[in-house]
Amino acid sequence: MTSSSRTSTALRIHGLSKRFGATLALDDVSMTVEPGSIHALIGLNGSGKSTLVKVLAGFHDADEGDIEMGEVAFVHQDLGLLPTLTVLENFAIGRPMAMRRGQIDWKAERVRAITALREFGLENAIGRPMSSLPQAEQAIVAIARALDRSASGAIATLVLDEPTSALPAHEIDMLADAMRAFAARGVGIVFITHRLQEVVELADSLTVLRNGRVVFTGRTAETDIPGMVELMVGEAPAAAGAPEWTPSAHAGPPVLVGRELRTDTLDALDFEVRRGEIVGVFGMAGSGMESLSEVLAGRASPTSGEVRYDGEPLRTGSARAREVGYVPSDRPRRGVLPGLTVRENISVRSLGSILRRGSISARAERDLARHWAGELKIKPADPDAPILTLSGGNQQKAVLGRWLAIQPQAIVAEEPTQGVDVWAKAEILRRLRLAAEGGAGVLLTAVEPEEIVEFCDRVVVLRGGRVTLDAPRSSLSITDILSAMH
Amino acid sequence: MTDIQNVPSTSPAPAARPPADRSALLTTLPRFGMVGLLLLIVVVFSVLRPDTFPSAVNLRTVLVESAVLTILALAVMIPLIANDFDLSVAAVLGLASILAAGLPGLQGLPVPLVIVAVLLVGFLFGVLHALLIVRFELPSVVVTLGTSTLIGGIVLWYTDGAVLYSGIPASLTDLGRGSLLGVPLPVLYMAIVAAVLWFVLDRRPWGRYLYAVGSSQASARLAGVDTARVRSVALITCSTLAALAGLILTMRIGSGNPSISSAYFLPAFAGAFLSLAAFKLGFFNPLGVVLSVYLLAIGVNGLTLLGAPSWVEPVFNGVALIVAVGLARLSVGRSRKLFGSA
Repeated sequence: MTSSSRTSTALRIHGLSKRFGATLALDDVSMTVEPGSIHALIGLNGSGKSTLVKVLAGFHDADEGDIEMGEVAFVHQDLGLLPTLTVLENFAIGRPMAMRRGQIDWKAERVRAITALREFGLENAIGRPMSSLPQAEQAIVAIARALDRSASGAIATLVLDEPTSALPAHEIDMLADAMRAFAARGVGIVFITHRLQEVVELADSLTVLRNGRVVFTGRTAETDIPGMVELMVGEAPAAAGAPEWTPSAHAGPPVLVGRELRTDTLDALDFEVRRGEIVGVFGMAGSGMESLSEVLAGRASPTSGEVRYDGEPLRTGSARAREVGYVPSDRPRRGVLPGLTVRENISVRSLGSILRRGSISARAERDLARHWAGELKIKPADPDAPILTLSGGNQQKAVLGRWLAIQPQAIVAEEPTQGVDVWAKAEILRRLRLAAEGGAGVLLTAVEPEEIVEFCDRVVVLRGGRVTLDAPRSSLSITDILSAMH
Repeated sequence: MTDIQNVPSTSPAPAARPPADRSALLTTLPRFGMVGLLLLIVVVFSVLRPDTFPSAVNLRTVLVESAVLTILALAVMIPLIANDFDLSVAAVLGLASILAAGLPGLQGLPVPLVIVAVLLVGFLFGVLHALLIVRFELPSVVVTLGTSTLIGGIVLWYTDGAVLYSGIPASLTDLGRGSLLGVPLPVLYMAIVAAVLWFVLDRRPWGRYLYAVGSSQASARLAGVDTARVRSVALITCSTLAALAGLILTMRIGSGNPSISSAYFLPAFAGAFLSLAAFKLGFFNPLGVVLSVYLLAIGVNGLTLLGAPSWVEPVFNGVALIVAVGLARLSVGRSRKLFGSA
């Protein structure tokens, strides 16, 4: 309970190294976080960010170096909230609750939760189920809860592991305001993100990791987004720059067509994806974008309206629907087959074609997996590695490879570059372009148009379940798209 | 690296290498830990009881007595792969055993019809389970607990609580007491069931789909696996195999005992869960089930020959189950759930 002496830094790491077998995951890492500041930690997948967080959390012991810090609170990307319980119950659970006469003292718990949440205008939400809150507010509750649980009452550092990656674009500001409010209390915030725009807008200082080493640590003002990319990558990625194809020149007949589609978010929407084109669909959460991609891929039924695939009506869950490539945005829960290997994740749609005398040919299957792992530059290249040992970007490539392997006529990919590093992103988008050039219709969705817009031939923006913009990408600027979204 | 084409899925990839063999010892050894344990047990008991334990008669006894249980454990394993529990397998076995004795003995049905009818009853219970669990999305534990209790009631009504042993034709019991090329028939049936299941689960797309559903039902569905169909087939196969086990039981012992199912319930699940610790670590697998059931049976047999009292058997089984699953957890690591609901 002794409050650690408040030093002039919230967190100071000096000469930290961590080795896993032959790999040096962290190599002489030093960084400092000032109290009251927001410090961004960026780097590609595998650069050592997660290892650093795990060392700070005490999950790994460092091999060398030292860390000076007061009490640290962690909030992970998966916020650790229980969606069916109320905000108040979520707030109270996981620590000894206030008790009175052998019962939970909800009155005291209520006061405690209201005190912690009032600053963010969430004090009236404590009776609501967690799942009814927007994701940003859920994140705020998770952070407030972490700070409330301080043993010493004086959290020096708050570590936020990709708190924004699951947020719809319009909610990020909400969380950003909350982060500034937390920082204003004198807490040093370390925040890990893939979105460089947020670093510029939010972080006072940043540290860039590459291959386990610090390649930059200092004021955010000293660099800019191209500078950060260069620091992270070591050289500019090849795919950056002007696209080399001629957009939509080779768009063929429609392959996926939706007519009068209605769901709880779509309002009599008509939509087409043509062979050979990449359509980017953008919209904020609730715009109908998520619903559209599921329905067009034959993974969910519209309440009314019709989807046609290659000219014929597409029934949800039918064998034909299973030919449509689908990369869901919720990769951990709906994309990868956890527990299985990279090989099994890639081959699951192709098993029928690698039978030899009625039996899955182990050799053909391994060749197939190795082929796509190579094509997509999946690392590690070992097809028998369990899928969950791969980084998010490489898992995403395996999910995509599963579909590329059957050469689908249509691919629907939600947030294809989410949580993916610059290299993996370029590779994923290049493969989707190749599929389109091979005659497939490709539909991509994203809440952040700048992520993928330059790879699209046609842009469609949804708002309130209707199309507010549908135009060739070449005629549009980001501003046009963003203003159509809002 | 630079070759960029949409190559058809079936075209061979460049130069297939042999699987990586680094640290093969570490990854391969635990897979066969239970085989080693089995050998150890055999050696120890052979030394301690050289006259009785390693004899052909004793071997034959152990093999035959556990054949029915092995089939039942294999049945239970199938839906477990997809995270569905079928708690009714022992009850179905009991009902099938009763019907196999009663249909010829009381109703006078000819033997071929008895076999078909018994298997059909199992099949129909499987269809009922699939309907309730997959179609109406009811929890498998609750549904099969319900049907299990219901079947218990049917058995009581049909038998009045009495053992059925009269009027069972020899042509039926011959199918359980005979042997082919020196192999007792129940063992042969079990071997066929295990081999077919191994082939289907390890070498056919359906098996892979079943493991994919067990890994994540949502991901499997979105990846284009017909999850409803895969789970339904698993549940139906399970009940049908349970009925087959009951049929073989009656063929072998020549009677139908209304209270026999309770002796099979826990050992069947123990055998299925133990398979997590053999061959395909962390996954239910048919060869692991066969090994597990026989490991337990041989252990108990040896202890009995040493003169251990009867309470030793459940204690041995329980400890072996927990130790083995614990070892599976150690070798699989924390990166993965051992099975869906854990």
